[in-house]
Amino acid sequence: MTVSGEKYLISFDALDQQVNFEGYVRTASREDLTSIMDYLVDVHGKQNGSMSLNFRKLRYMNSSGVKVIADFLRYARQAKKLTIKLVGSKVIPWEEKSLAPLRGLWDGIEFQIYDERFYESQGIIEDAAFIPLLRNQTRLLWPREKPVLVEHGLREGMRAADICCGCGDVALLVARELGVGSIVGVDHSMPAIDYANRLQREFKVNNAEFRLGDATALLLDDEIFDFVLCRLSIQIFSRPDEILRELHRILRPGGRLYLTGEDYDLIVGYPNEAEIRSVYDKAGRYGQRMGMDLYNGRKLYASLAGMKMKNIKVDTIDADNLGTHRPTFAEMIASWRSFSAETIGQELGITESERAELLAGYDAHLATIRHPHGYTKWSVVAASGEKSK
Amino acid sequence: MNGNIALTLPARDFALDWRRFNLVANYIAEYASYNYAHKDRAENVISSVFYELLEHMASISREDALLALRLAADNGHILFEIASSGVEPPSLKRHEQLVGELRRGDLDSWYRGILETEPEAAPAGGLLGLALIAHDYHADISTQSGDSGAVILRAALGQEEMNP
Repeated sequence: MTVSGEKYLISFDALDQQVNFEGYVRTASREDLTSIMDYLVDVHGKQNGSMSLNFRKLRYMNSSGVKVIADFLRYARQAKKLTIKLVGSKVIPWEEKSLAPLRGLWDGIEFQIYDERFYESQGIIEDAAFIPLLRNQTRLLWPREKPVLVEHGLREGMRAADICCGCGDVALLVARELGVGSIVGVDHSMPAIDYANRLQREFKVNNAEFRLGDATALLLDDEIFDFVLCRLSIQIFSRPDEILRELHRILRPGGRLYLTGEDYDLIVGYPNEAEIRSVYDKAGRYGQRMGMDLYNGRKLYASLAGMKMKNIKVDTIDADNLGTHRPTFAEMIASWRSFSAETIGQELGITESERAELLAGYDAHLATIRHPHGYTKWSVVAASGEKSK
Repeated sequence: MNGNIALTLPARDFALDWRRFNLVANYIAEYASYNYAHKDRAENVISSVFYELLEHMASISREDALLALRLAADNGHILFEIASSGVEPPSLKRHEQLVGELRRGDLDSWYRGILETEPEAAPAGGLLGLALIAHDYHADISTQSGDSGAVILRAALGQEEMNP
């Protein structure tokens, strides 16, 4: 049950009693506008309770389209049968500007910005203060991850996407050092995308592009990328399946989806072995309370297999204090210390003693890194699979 | 300032194929967006506003008119301007009345009134569009007309419209 025009598709999802709009509704054709109205009225007639109009993948709607939505809302007001929810996205400004005022037509209309708080830790992860932590992680991981990416099939000339690209540093390294034809980076954090754009100008990388976007409703066409990366990100979302579905959609058949994830059980060290284990156990539990899964690395194979991906490869990327720049490793752990004990701790309202325990645990880990005979390792799981043709 | 853009196009092109509204609005928006900190938001806002202005000006212009489009940033504002070289007197009168409506009275109630209008009685796309950008984007819209049917439409948006 759909209605479409040259640049838009409107479909009905019976599971959520939701009409999904995709593309651009910018039409001056009376016929198009009438068929949209008729479609909405038809769907309305077949539902009970409530009905949602989801605009999260609609990049533009002109005033004639907005008027059709207003006409439909007036129809629903008159019919008094259903309440209507309008669902917009934070990353598409026209939606908040032009849909929110429609609430004034009737108190049976709800307007929701879907991604306002769509994962628990959004406020802290998307803050500019998080960027230095991301940069330090990249400093440690990139030299080890670069060959892994090649091993997992990333090749020169490919069309790549880095979804949840954060501050864009890895996407820029992929563009510059691995010679992809182009790479599109998408992230939901405006400070991170602004940072990525600045970094791109500074490094004069021409084959990369960064966009603000919602990974659960990407404004990217189906099956256009040869290689899709999503690194250390799925772990923070409470609904990872929504992201995985989008990653799969934008990947061309035969292309590869590459995921990385954390596994806090793989962080080890000596001396201070017990303190290190204890602090990452605690941090993992606090992460869970924030809706994060800091053990998702071990689940990536299952995720890819569940999507019926072929030729799945799994590796670990190991960064230790011997093979990396030791002060950088220490700086990264110090960033984690602050993020976990201060930022997350504050969000969760942990007690002073819990906070002190966390700080002491991270301090023990820092002592191990700096110890002349100390050894510690942070392992990230990398997994990729090929989309069936 | 970087990212300012000016284009001149025949009104006839838009009469022949209205899809050019989308094409031109997106082109200008993408070109200019690199000038803004929040590029993606800027692109969406600029394209949305330019689309409505262009549709309106094309709808009131004679087919043999030229449309001069300009986008510039100035003192915390983004200035959208479309100058038509030829608007017939009846269209000009309607246009001036509409812009006059936008600039006085209670914009909220007036816009609500448009949304409440039955589809058959609703104003044509271009008129509705001006109302939408004045109301939803807080655009300050003004117009200026010359003796020979030349008309300039301007919309000034605060830079804060680009911000979340």
